[in-house]
Amino acid sequence: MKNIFMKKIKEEILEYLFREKKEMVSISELKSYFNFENFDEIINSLVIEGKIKLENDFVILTDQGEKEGEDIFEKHEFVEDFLKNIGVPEDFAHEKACEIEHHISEDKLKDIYPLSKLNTGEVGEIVLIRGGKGLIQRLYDMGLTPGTEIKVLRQAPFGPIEISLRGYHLALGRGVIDRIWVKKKN
Amino acid sequence: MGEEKELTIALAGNANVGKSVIFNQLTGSHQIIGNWPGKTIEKREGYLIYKGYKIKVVDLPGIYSFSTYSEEELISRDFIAKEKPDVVINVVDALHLERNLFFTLQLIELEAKLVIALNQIDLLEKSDFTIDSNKLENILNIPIVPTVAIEGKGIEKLIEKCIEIYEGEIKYEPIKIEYGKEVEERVNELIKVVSFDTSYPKRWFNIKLLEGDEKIKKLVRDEKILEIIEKKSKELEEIHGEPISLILTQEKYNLSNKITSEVLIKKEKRVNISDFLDKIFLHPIFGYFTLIISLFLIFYLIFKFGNFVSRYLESFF
Repeated sequence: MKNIFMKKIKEEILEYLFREKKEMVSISELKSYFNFENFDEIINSLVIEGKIKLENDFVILTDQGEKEGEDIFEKHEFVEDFLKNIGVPEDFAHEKACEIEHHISEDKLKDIYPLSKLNTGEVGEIVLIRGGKGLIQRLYDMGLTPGTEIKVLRQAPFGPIEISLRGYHLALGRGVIDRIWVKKKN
Repeated sequence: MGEEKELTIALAGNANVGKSVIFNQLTGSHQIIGNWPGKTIEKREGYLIYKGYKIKVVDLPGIYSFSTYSEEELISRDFIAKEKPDVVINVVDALHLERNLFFTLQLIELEAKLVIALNQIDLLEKSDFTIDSNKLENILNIPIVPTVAIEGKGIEKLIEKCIEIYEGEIKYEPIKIEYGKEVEERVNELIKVVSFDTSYPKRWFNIKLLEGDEKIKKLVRDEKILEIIEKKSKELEEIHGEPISLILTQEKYNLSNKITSEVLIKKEKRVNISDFLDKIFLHPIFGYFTLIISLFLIFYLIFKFGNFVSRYLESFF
């Protein structure tokens, strides 16, 4: 039980450092933000694991730590977007995402990409669409409802892509295809 | 001339399905038909006299849905719901049945009296698929006329079906679109509460209220009723975890998917010409070559032929 809790706190710290990457974060700042009694112990073990470095009074992510922080950050964003999309209120979605992010394994997220990441000829099933109500309603009206299979037919470099779904072809702009998340099918 | 009966027919359907062609076939007006989606945003009207009937034909803009995200959609739905044309010809692209049926279902929900023109049936014959139009007719319980608009095939039958519907010779009872129990219960409860008269069909009006359609909501001025609507929408969103309009859109698509899979029959595999040409013209490398070659040909023709013509013209002076 304690281990799970430790893992969670460590991930939170890495994620926080990743978010604040551009700013230098001092130890005291971090300590007051997390306000946790075993704080020094955790920082020490993160240093030993080679995920952070301490320089003067500042905490700096190593390459490995940055990668892990980014992973957690991405999971968080994904979960938060997902929750918002299914109608969970914003602040609550953020809070819940903070909890859920630690519990999803890599491989569950592995096959879910924005549509733009799919190569020509690949097939995906729509998982969710991010965006305002107007955009989502529009795409639903065109038949892009969750669960629909879409196939990428053609991609113009930096330009729109052509997909096929429900027996017809549709061209979508880059801005839109990044908002459509699909589960890749083999 | 004896007494002429007047009726109004509207043409509705997705963009690029051949509505304008059918419009021209019906009215005989000479317009240039381009390929710009939504180009018929202005209301186009024409008249036709057929067997003693004076028929007014209105061409509605090509749209995919009746949600209010564009002017075209608003124009169309208000025309159908408020001006109540006697018959609406729903032009359906036989090649893209599923997406077109989604729109047909919305027209049914809007309680328009429909005749379906199953257009471009000739192109379908050339494709890998065929449609069992009798079965489709039975499922929807709406008269279906296969047409090839550019050749004028099926146009006369279309007019005749419209007149039959107008005269009540065909019993018009289309398929009922029903949603889940939770939605149906609330719609029925709302119908009892929202008792004032609108020109919109009752069921449709109340469904739109539940969906939170802004334009429709504005028609309700009673604060108390608005509160009830708000409460019911909230309940539904909590049950499904999604905005209601999206749930209903999904359900309609599921239905059109189901119908499509029942009536669309796959034939033996044949090479689709359009796909074959796409392979050449839209190829990442060869595509550019075909572009250059065709541009070259165009310029070559302009200068060579143009030169010839201008020299010929010059000889006059």
